Amino acid sequence: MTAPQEIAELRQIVRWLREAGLTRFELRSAQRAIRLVLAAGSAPAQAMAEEDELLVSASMAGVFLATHPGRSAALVRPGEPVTAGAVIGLLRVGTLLTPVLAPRDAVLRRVLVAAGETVGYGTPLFALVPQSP
Amino acid sequence: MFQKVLIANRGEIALRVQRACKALGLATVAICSEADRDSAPVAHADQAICIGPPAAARSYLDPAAILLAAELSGAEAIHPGYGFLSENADFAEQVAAAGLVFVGPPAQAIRLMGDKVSAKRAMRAAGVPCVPGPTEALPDDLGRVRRIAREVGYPVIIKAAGGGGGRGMRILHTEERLAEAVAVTREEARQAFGNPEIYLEKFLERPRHVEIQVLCDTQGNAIWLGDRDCSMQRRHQKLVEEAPAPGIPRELVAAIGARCATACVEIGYRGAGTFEFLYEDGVFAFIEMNTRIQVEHPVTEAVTGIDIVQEQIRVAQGSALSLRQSDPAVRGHAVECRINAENPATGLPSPGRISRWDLPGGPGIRVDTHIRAGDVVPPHYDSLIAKVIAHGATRDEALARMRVALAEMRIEGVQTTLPLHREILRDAAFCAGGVDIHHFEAWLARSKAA
Repeated sequence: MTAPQEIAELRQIVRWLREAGLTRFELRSAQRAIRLVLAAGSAPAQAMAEEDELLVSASMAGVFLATHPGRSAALVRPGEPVTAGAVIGLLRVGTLLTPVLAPRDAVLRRVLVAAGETVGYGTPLFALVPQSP
Repeated sequence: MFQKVLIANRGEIALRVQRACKALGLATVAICSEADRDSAPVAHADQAICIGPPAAARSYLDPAAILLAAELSGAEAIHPGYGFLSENADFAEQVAAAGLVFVGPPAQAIRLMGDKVSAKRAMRAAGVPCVPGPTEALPDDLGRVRRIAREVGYPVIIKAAGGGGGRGMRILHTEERLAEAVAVTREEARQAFGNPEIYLEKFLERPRHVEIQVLCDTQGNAIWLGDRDCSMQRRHQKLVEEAPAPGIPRELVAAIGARCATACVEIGYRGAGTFEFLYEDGVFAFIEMNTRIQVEHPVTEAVTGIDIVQEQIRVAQGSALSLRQSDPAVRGHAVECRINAENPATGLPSPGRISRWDLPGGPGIRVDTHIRAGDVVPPHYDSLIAKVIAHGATRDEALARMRVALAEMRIEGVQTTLPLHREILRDAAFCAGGVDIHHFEAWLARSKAA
């Protein structure tokens, strides 16, 4: 029953559950029964990738910044293209700023955490749509 | 005086330290790897930060990641727990250099006791009895090594100065293979511990493992909190511990305890620590010092009524010990079983999801664990999942309470040492008390053969 389309639908349902703060979901029809149970007490929802997206995660714990502290404009905005190796965000710990790099040529679709938020290792920060060379 | 403590560990000890901090009114920061994101210590801490992937080298063993998490969280002190970086002098130094308090001894005391040769020299100087043998590393000249071994008398054991926990050693009953043993141990020591120094001492055939718990503050006060017997070991891993050690004259233990406390002052020690001894034919011989809190500390807490972790944190804050040597009266007897997620017959780890988790209770029973039903035991770390501690007015009462507790306990989803512990609590020699460090493995071999 797991066509890619249905997985995408399940993902959407999980997102809605998390947003609504629900932990259980059951759907029964003539053809199938679905039960989703979210782990109790699990950390705040982490963003999930859409089919065509590539997630860029934090390589260390830090305070996420979308804008360099010395500038006024964001490093990159949703809809803008980025090239491989470009600095698309920063992680700040004390006075130390560590760049978050685009892993490949892509278009930025979504910024997944708010600027100023403290993130841990592995927290998804950006959703990119890779561009074929 | 610090108010916020980062706990640089995982599992039951992370939760244990967290409880002590909270009881003292201190804020807690948990760090975790990606494998422990949903763990109890993370859920219960005031703040939690994921610092790296599951591999310990890039999370719990990564000083930079831990120090950055301390900066990020505003923690003013770091408690290392046991294992991981707890006995790493360089880490203790880095913590201090970052302007934070390391909840443990000063780096130079860790370094002194981490090198087994310098530790032995310091202990001899402090009047603590040691295993017969020189307090110098072995020379390169094989002729001189041969003379040293003859003077000590076979059997002898050759050990790595940088080793510990039963690793990097070789036993010789005759002179025949001395050259080979020296060469191989030296090479192993160089590769495993980054220090090719080795030393030689008398090998004791049937000793017990008996240790002394100490506590010191920065005002020059040091006390010892009684003894523990940890002779029930498999491959140098302790499985059952008890306090006090049965059948040893109390005045003998008191004399050793007093020397340990004096030695602490002489080496500039601070916090909680343990002096480990071999005990054979009425004689104590120092083997090494653990410069940290130990897994088995709850048996001492049970018989003394002292919260050792709280005291450890208080002295790190600069407070004077709230106890005097005359205070801790030992009451009754306590025994601890370390329940590991492993195959009871082979000792191989058994990671997986815990599907059933029924804990025991009743008078005198304490369970220290981070596990909840449904939790996953990751394959990346130590397999300890729970410590069951039974306290009674007598050793027999403590053992009886432990038998009931182990019978009540139900763990499903992973294999555990529970069946092994249930059986060993019925072994006549163990129940009589005072078995040596080879008893458990011999018993295991016999029960496998039967």
